[in-house]
Amino acid sequence: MSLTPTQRADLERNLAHAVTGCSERGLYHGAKWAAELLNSLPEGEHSITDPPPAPDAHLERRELPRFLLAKALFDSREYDRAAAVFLPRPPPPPAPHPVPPTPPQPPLSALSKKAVFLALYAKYLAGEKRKDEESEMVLGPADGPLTPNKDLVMLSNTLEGLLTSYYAAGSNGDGWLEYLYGVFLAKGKNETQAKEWLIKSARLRPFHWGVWQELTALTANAEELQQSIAALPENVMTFIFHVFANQEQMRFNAHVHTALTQLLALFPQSPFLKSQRALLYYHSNDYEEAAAVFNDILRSNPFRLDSLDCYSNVLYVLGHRAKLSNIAQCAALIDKFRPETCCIIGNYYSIMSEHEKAVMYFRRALTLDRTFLSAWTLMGLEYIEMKNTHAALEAYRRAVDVNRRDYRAWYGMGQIYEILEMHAYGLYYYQRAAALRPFDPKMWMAVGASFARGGKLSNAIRAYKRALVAGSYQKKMGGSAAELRASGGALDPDTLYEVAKLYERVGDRREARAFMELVIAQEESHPTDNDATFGVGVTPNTSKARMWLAKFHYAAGDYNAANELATQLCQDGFDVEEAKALQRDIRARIEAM
Amino acid sequence: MTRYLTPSKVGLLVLVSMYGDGDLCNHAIRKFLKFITLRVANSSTRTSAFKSTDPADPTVTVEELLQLASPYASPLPGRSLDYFVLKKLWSITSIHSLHEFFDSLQGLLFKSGDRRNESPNSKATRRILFLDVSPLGLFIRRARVEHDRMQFEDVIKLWNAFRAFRAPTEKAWMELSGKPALQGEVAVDEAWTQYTYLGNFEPNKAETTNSVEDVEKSLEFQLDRLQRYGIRAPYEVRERLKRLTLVPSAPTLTFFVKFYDAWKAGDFTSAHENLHRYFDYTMQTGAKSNYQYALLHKSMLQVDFGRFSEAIKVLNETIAMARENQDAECLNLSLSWQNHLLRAYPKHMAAMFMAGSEKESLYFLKMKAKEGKLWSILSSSLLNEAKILLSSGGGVPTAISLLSEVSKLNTQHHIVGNWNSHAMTLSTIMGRLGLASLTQSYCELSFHGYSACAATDETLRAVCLSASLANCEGDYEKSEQLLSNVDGNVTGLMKLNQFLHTYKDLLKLKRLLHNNDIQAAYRIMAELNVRPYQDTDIQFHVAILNIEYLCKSSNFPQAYEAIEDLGHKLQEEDGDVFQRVTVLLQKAHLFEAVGRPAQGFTVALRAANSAYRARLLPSLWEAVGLMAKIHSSLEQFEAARRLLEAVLPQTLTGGDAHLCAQLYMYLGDAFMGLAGTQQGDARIASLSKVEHSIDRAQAYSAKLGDSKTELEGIAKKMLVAEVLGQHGQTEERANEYIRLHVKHSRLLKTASAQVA
Repeated sequence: MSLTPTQRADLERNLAHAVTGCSERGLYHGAKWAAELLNSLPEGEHSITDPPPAPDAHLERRELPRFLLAKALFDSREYDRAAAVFLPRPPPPPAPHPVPPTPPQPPLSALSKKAVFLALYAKYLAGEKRKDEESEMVLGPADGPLTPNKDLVMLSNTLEGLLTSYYAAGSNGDGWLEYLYGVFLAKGKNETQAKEWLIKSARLRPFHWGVWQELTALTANAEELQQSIAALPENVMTFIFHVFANQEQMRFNAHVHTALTQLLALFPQSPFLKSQRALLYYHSNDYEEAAAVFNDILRSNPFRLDSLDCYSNVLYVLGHRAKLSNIAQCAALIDKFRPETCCIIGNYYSIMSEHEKAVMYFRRALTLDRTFLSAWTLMGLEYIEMKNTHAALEAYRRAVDVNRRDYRAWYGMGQIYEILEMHAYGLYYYQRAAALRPFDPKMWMAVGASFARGGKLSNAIRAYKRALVAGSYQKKMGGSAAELRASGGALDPDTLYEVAKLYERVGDRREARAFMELVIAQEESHPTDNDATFGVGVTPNTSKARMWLAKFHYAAGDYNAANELATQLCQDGFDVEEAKALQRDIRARIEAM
Repeated sequence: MTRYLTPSKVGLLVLVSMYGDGDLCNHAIRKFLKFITLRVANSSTRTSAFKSTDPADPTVTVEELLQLASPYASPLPGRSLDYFVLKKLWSITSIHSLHEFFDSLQGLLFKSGDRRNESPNSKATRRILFLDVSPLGLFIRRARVEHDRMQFEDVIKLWNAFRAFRAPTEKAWMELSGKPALQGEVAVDEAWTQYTYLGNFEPNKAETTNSVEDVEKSLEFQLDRLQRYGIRAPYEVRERLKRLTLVPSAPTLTFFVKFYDAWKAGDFTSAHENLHRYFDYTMQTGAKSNYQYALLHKSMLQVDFGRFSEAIKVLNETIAMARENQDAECLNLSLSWQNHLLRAYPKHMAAMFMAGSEKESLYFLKMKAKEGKLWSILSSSLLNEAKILLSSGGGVPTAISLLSEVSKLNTQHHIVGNWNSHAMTLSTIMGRLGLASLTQSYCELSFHGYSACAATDETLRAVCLSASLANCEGDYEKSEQLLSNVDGNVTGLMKLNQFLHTYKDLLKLKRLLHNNDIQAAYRIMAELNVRPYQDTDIQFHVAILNIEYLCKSSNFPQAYEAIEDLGHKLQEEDGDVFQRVTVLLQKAHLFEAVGRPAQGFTVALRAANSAYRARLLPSLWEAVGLMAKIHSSLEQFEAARRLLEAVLPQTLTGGDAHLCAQLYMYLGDAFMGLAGTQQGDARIASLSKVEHSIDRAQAYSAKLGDSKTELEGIAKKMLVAEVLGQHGQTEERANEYIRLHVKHSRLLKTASAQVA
């Protein structure tokens, strides 16, 4: 896929205008993202023209001095003051002494849309800042969803009225105001409406990345994603959104990879897209590949800290401690007080089993940015290591509150309840995790184990079988052992053993036997398979299965088979004494016959 | 700046781990351990006062490590130990391996319950394990703890500093190992790590190699020096310290060192400011116990800058605070300081303290010190008691017995700080007993032997006293040399510098007065009279010389006034007995000079009486000499002769050339008078005795350069020759007189020109 010169010029112009538009409105992240993408186009001629004048340009010209003041104040993080430049003051309380009347502010509708956006956005940020200040310490008593942004309702109402009047006049919010309204609605947990407004905004201003990010956050599953995409125009941004949302929802099928490859052909230099690729690999547990891609990104953008924390996660899983320490050093040299840096250092200390220090750094990351998801999850993990289940639970809960699709947090909460022996509760969380990661056998195994402990044996068997299927990447739902055998591929012997034991508990000794035999079968490799998988060899579980089978045959009177299995057991070296005793019994029975 | 760990400490830990792993051959072990322990041992264990060797520099360079290791063979054949050191140093390839290195140190510590059941040849048994409480064990534990509590940013700093530390050996290691210095997963696969490795790293620009602990140690050492010797650090040291402490995390002790420095440099404002700053910063860490010490220092500072009333207020508060907080040590220190003040500045202090409180407080101090076994305070209070006894004219034997007690205490408890003042007090006693050579040797002992353990101002006083003794003997060259030798010691120390220069002027003035160079003496006198003095000794000396000068310039009314003034002042301040006797003697001289011998005789008799009671032998001799002279002038020659012949032999050992010359001259006069009453052989014998006495007197005055006495002697001898009828000799002596006179006036002229 390549661009014609006109398309390229269009793309460049749109991106450049998005950068200017975002910077004028204090949307730094969107500006950064668009500029990065603009610079990752292949080499070529640039033909960037000035943006067309806004419909209300005469208003903008008139209020330019005030706008400049507001922007300067906004940039110096004096949000309240910046908002006060344009926003009308609240009516003064009835004063005992007559005060000189203040000059009346013009109503919001008399302002240009740019000014309105900046003012409302500044007010919103001021509220967020106050909220953060009132939340005090991370995980402290005031920290949590109970501390709201107090300005939100007022802002939302104001903006609603304004947008209604615009639309009634046949105009619109220029894309930016729609976005802001969407954000307000999303903050107020008014998700469906928020999505509508965001889609409106995406149609008007497709190159504003913030819109897509908010949309992704609001899209819970594949169906919703499909719905959203259907409502969106077909352009490159929708395409990027498609890839990004799939990645965020941890879908890593070939379709997404292809889409990403096509995008990378358009923007070969884009570190953002490359990091999407790495994250896809990471979700599919392909850590080496992910590490290679991250490495590549680092080489070309040594000062880019975004998504570097994911790299540290990859290195954590791979156990590359030295490299992790280097990344941490590198990040700390660039900026000590970025949540990403703190996360990386926390990961390093976590891998060195210094959990207190790790928690300290995760807390620091959260103090810097309370919506930094991975820090919450990782901190929960550290608290579990430190046996502080309450803190861990709270951290995971906060992670889930920030992003409901974080399966690690759900899974972690399940683990905690399992530690606390509250299995019914644990089951719920495992099920949430399994719903988010239907192809991760670990989730299903956890679900199965919870069911088994709760005494719901048939459910447990189903869950374990799901795990087996997920483990062998099989779409087909297996029912019996024979079906599973027929499906081929390597199966996890531990899961099989669990299933067999469950069948025994149910009393279905025939199925149990079949699964025990399957366990033993996993010891050897399957040369018939296309992808030559190797057997697991003799493990404690396969030996246990063998012992079970030997006893089974013994009880059934099939002494030869039992004897053979017992002899194998003596050779394998597990439970030798018991096997020998069994052998003696068998010989005695044979002789007695 | 890190708190404790530095690259040097990592280097030392590498050595320790080599020792622990059994990599060292037997004869290398001793050297290695010495090298390590010198730098690691806790400084608080070395409290000896004679720390002649400075504490080893805590920083080591990688070259030092290699130099230490290179002479020895390693367990690997064909390789010397420095290869091992390099290998260890370069095996730390990243922050992570640094972390692992610290973790691995745990294995060197002996855990109780360890059972060594490995076979005797295994590497584990070759290992040396350190007990937790052994010096190296402590070092390892401290290092591990410090590493554990380091934040990641500090680890990065340590790592970069460590790389700078070992950077000089990169080439050597590459040659030895045949591999690139940085290898392993870190260096090979990453182009971008080059950025972390090189982009941000230049060996010369790496962080400082000192930890807070190192800086603190050097500041403590510095402070110890400053407090003990009362000096300022040399310029280079000051500059180095400034560089060390120019970091945000510098310890607060810096301000205390600055306070001392400013104090000694005479910068009252900065000293005051820095003292306050130090205690402001230590308030957060230290308990309130620091407060009384702060007050004590403040009072010392204010006394030094002449703000007595404030100093006394502060001191009283110090004592109250120390009593309240039951801080016996501080209380004793402040009481002994109060005592010192009472003696040193009686005029300013008298109004503030109740009369008699001096002895009481001294008694209290002694009891407290004995109770609390604070030997150094006991020793200094005994010394003070002896000094008070001497100044009030009390028993010399008691003083000497007190001093023996002090000496015993000093030796028994190794109180080096008081050795010097002990020697100086003894020298004072010897001076009063007229044993000049002993006085001189005690002074020499003080500044040759004890200068290493005494404050600089004490040493300076000893030198000045010694110089003044040499001056008295007429050995001007020695005196000048002694004083010029100490010039360098007092550079930058305002008070001592002033003291030294004043003393130099005093000695010069004395010499000029002996030489009868009135004009030059006038100039110096004028200069000395306008300077303010805090030191009572100096004040007294200046006053006495002023009187002598006035007498020499025949300005008797003014001289009389000056004597009366001084006498009153001494009476008010309850001054030293020696000073009072000296004033009496001056008065007697004056009366004799203005022709009122009878009055002079009474005064001289009083002086002799006092001097005899207080065992002030030199003063006694002078008084007796004066009485003899008055006898002669009243034509009681026999009495004069008998008096003089009684004291002269002792005077000769007293080391005062001027007094000797005078007494001989008086003796000559007495014999001349006697000769007048005699006939025949007895007369001739007397006349020859006259000649003999005058010869001796001339010899002494020649030593002093006192040409007036010399000329007087020649004239007298001329008279003797004429009485004997030896006209040739008369002629000869007349010529000699003229020659000497001419020479003398020429000398006077050049000297005056020089002074001008």
